[in-house]
Amino acid sequence: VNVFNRLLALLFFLLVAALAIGAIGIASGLLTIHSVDRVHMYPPLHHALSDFHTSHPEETRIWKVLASGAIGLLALVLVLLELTPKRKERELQLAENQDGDVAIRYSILQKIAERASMDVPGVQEAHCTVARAKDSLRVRCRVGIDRYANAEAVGTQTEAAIKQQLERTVGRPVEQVAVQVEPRPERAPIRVR
Amino acid sequence: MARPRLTGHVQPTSVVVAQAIRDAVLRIPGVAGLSAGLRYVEATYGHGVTVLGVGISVLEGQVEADVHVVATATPLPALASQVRQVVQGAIRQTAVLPPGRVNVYVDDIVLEERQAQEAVLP
Repeated sequence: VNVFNRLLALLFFLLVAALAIGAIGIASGLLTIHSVDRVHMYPPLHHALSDFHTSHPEETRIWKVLASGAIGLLALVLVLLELTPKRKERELQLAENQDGDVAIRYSILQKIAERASMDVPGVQEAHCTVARAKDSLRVRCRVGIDRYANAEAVGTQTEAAIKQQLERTVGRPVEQVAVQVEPRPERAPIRVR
Repeated sequence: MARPRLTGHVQPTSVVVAQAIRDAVLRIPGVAGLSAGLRYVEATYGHGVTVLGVGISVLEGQVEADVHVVATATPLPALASQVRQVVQGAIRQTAVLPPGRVNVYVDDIVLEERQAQEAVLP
């Protein structure tokens, strides 16, 4: 729903910007009503554009151009704001009350998840990201495993290890752990334990 | 509101409180050290003394503290609660005003070295 709403908003702002540019063209005379008629002849639109183009007194023309420009600029700014990605949270608030805040950096959660992965036999490298999902956590990990290890077993063990370690350390439920297992290439160094 | 220090300078109370907080927090099992902060430097400054990782402010007649810690692999909510209690105790002992909000920031974690012996073969 959020994506749909954002798409609608983007289309609306772009439409407003396009109309504003058209209005500037008509008011300034750069775009003739005849040109618009050639694209699509619609008598009510023709009359409306003719009224908009006709300026009495003459100095109202500049105000029309300025107002259209301001609306167009505002629409373009709103498009840019809508397209700008939200700033990523750097800290997870563990507590926020009258006694004070307790905050932990996401990089620490990532470190904990990666260490938990590395402690699973067969895992040779791990890269994890941790994100908040309301009151719980979501973890995504890509682990490189020994090419002779059982990928399914290692993946399952890694998921369980990450979940257990994060819940124990952070005290928040871990809603989802997604682990992508990749056997390391044949020429990669082998770690023997 | 000022106490003499061994350096010969008179330190502001904020530095004395910050030093007491630092010493008390460092004694907590599970705290590996204090961090100066990551996005900005959190510190309390006195005459020739800087207490990194502890920020002191007075708001509405209460002493508020921001403490940046480096933790070990322990349950962090419990550790934060313990840090808060210790900080409030240190403020009660050294400051005239009562303790207020205590914000605890876990800036880093020290994970134990892996138990298993490892060797990397080329």
